[in-house]
Amino acid sequence: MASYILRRLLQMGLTLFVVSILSFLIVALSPGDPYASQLDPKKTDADKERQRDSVGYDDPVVQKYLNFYGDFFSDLGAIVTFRADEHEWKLNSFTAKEPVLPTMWRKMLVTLPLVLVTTLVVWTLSFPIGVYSALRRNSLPDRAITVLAYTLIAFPGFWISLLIVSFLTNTLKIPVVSPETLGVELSGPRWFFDATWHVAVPAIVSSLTGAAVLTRYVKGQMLEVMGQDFIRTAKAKGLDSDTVYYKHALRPASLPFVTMLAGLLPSLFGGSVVFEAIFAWPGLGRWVFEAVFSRDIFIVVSSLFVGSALTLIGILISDIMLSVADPRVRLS
Amino acid sequence: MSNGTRKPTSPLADALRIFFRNRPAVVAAVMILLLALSAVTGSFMTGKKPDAPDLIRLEEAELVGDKVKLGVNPDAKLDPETTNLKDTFLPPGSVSKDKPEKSYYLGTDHLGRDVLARLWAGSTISLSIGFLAVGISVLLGISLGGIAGYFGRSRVGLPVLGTLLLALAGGILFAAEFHVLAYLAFGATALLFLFQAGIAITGGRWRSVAAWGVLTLLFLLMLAYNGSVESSTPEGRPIAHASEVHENAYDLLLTLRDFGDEVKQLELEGGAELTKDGKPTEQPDWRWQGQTGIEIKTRSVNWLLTRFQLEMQYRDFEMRQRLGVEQQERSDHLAGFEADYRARFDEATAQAQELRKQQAAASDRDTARKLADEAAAAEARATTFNPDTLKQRVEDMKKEGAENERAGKLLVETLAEPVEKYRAALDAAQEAILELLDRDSAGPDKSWDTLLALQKIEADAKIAQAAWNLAVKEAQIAAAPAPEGKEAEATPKPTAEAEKKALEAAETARKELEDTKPEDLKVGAVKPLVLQSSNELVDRRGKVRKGLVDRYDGETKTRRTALYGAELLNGESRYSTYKVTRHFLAYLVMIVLVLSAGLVVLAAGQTAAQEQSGFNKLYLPTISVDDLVMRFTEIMMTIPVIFLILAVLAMFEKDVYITMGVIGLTSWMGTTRFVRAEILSLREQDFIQAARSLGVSDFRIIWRHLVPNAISPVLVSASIGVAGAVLAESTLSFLGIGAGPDQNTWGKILSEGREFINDAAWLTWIPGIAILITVLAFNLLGEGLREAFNPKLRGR
Repeated sequence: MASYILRRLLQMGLTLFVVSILSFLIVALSPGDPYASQLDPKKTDADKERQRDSVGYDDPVVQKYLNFYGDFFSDLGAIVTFRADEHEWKLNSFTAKEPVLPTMWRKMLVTLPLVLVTTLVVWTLSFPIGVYSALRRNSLPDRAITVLAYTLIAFPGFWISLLIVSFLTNTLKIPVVSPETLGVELSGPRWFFDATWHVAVPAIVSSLTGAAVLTRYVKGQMLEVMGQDFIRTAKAKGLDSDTVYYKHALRPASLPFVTMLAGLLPSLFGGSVVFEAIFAWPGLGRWVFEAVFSRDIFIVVSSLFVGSALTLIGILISDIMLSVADPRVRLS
Repeated sequence: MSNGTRKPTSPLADALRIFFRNRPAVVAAVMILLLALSAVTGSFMTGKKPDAPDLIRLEEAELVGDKVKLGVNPDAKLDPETTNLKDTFLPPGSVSKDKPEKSYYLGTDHLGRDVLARLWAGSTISLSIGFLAVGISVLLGISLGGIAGYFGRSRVGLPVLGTLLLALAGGILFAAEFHVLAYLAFGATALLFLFQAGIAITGGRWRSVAAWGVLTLLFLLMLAYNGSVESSTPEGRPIAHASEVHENAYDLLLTLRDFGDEVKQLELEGGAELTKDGKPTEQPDWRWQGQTGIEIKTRSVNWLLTRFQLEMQYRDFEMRQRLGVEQQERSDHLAGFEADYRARFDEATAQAQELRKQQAAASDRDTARKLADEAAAAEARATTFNPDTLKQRVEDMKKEGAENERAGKLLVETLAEPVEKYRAALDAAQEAILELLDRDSAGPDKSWDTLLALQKIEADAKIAQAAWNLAVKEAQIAAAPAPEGKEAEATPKPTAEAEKKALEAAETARKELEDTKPEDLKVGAVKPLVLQSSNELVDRRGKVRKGLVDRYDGETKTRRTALYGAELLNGESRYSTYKVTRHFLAYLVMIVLVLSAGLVVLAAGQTAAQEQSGFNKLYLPTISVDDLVMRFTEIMMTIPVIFLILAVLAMFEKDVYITMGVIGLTSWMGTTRFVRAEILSLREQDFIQAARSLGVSDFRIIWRHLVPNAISPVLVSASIGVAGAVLAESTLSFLGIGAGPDQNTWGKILSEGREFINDAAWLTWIPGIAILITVLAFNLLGEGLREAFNPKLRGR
């Protein structure tokens, strides 16, 4: 086990190295710079040139790469070793002049509740519904669920959110946009309910499509397992149907979903750009989205790197979890 | 058949039978056929122009200081004929207010455009981009997955891999402006190419030879393309020329910097002898060795920069004329809107008055407040569409345009002759200065002569410069509009007196030089510095020298930025594009081609035979093709796709085909993985083994046996992929990065309609439902195909 993890970690390091080169090249060599679009008419070309020089924008790309990752790991080291208070941040964003990594952490904390609640809603909705749908195949509820799932999958996600937001805010006069009601100071339980409401609505809305997809998947998985011989054997030896379905069929059917947990970590990045835009959440997705278009390459490259690292970690964790949950899987 | 046995059926017929029994899938297939029909017919059928342009584009060209700024799409022409602003926001089923025979079955949008026409025209783009993205991703997925699956066990030696990696490294080094290293890498690549080809020829493996030939051809093509990028831009030649000037200047600067240290050393040694008893001493000849060279180089750079400034200056005059013409064209288009503006203004004013009346008469407070709000909105609309403001704007723009055109034209014409003269003078001076450099290296005795000659050349160039400045000033005075009324008295008349005096001074200075002898320069050459002690002097001169170098360096860098910014002036590119990037982009395109071709080559000919004959005796490391492809796939899967897409998109103009192409390029990994798995399991099966033992060629096995068996899951995922791509397009349009300004997609119509979601619900519902139906149809078709090809799933 230990040697397996060690080997995987080494592989991860190699992959990350290649990823770091690829992502840096794509971002750093794309045209334009953060200062080209500044609208201040008093800024002359020479001023902009000076700004570019101050952050080393015109340096050769190899030097830029080394400088960037040097600063990145020095900052990351400070965070990991809890020396953030006395650390002088080296990697700062161009436009806002904020340290990149602490800001990323802050933004991640904003996005986290949204992603967590969304995932929770998706999984708690789709598992029972999918299993039910598989067990009552071709019944009226199953058909209704299938039609609903297909329709939800086909809806442009942002449109259905806009319709719901429009209904809630205009007809029911309920504020749902942004992480908390703006302009009102709340405390105690009222703050709690306000915050809960503001998380719950976007989470439910943004989980609709995901829940529909996962329901179909769970149903398919369950049906596949139920078509296998050992279930027929279990039925034939007279086990009652609850034992067959929930003890013998559900466990193997749910195993593939363990691998899906790998997607949870990186979904912090990018999983929620659209919904953060609709619900005005100042989260990670929007931050990077805006950085891309203001050519703030430090933010973009850092996010690509951290996102890739999280993906790899997620895959590793889910592989280990799968080997724990499924005795047939051997780590090698 | 007649003896009662069951007719044997082919698997395809079976699949079709199952498919046609699946009612939703059949309905979906019919739906898709209809959609395809509408996509093909596009906008021909509706007879109305689907996409009359936005008003926003009027605001595109402006003069900031003396620089021209052009908008995103300067060529976009307004067509007031097709836009009738009276028909804005008509609900579905309405009839045109102007022409009763014209009806809008699906209503009109905020710019009065027919929604049905837009939707119909949009279906062309929306569907074709879906197929584009899926086509790219499926093509990449099948070829990479197929290579990994079928040829996966072949091992690739270091030389083959090295060739490809070197080609890639060369491109990156070239982009990073390490030109020498880049050319070394290219050379090594070429050598390796030849080496490989030689081995293939001696081994008699002609298929390999052909493959390497194709690869070499591609590589040469890439180099040629790379070289042609620079001169292929619309304004390529002047930029190429200016670029050359810049390169020369930059080279000189680098030399100059090296000389800086030498000078400092020289001065430290000789500083003590600069003064004697507080009086300047006669300077010995040796002090000017080397230093003369530096003087010459500094001046040379200076004049190169002047030459470059001239090009920039003259270009601004030309741009001004062009801007004038465009401004006038735009004002004409704008004027075409007057009737519409007036109609809307009248309507809004009348409406506002009516509402105010109602408000005054309203009994309860809520109604009154509501009416007041509506009235205020109507008043605001009236202000927006006030025809007088429009008229004023049209007049102003026209006047400004005419003025700019006239002045620009006059300046360009008047200065055409002087600019040629000045250019010639500067070029001559440059040449003469560089000739001096050769003379200086001839020996120390000549350095005083050289210095004098340099001063004479410079004095000539200064006369030409003063003459040019005078010509410009005079032309500017002639071109300036005559001030009117009070202004004329308040502002003094501009004169060219200062320039005239400068010209005279330059001529006098030149004449004085005629009488100067080289020996005269020896005394007092360091006159201003005499009052300081020698140590201070040395220190300060060193600083001055360094400052000089830094300044020129900085200036050249600024110029370089300006040079590439010049493209911005032409409105050619939205972002300022560095040469580096353009090279790199050109290179990227070709490298993808070369790498994929390379993989095919590896797979095709370089495999088993090589293990026996070639490199393995050298115990060089090898990597299996499977590893190569799958590690690359994993790396691509690791990077968060959405930001990768965003980062790539930020490089290009907004264009939905590029967007979807990028999506295709970043979404092939899933297909690759399952195609590989499919092929891996197929190639072990008996019928493939049988075919192989019969001596059937790889090509025939692939096309006759593997592809038909592996294609069904690809078809299924492609069908579902098209649905995903249509959805992705709408999401990207919502984020504002989907369709370009002239492109009309369903996602764009939908996201444009969201502003009016409360007032004109049909603007979102109609495109939304169109997307919904399309996505649903493709998903159902995919499910139907899955079921038809995979009988085990039947009945789910």
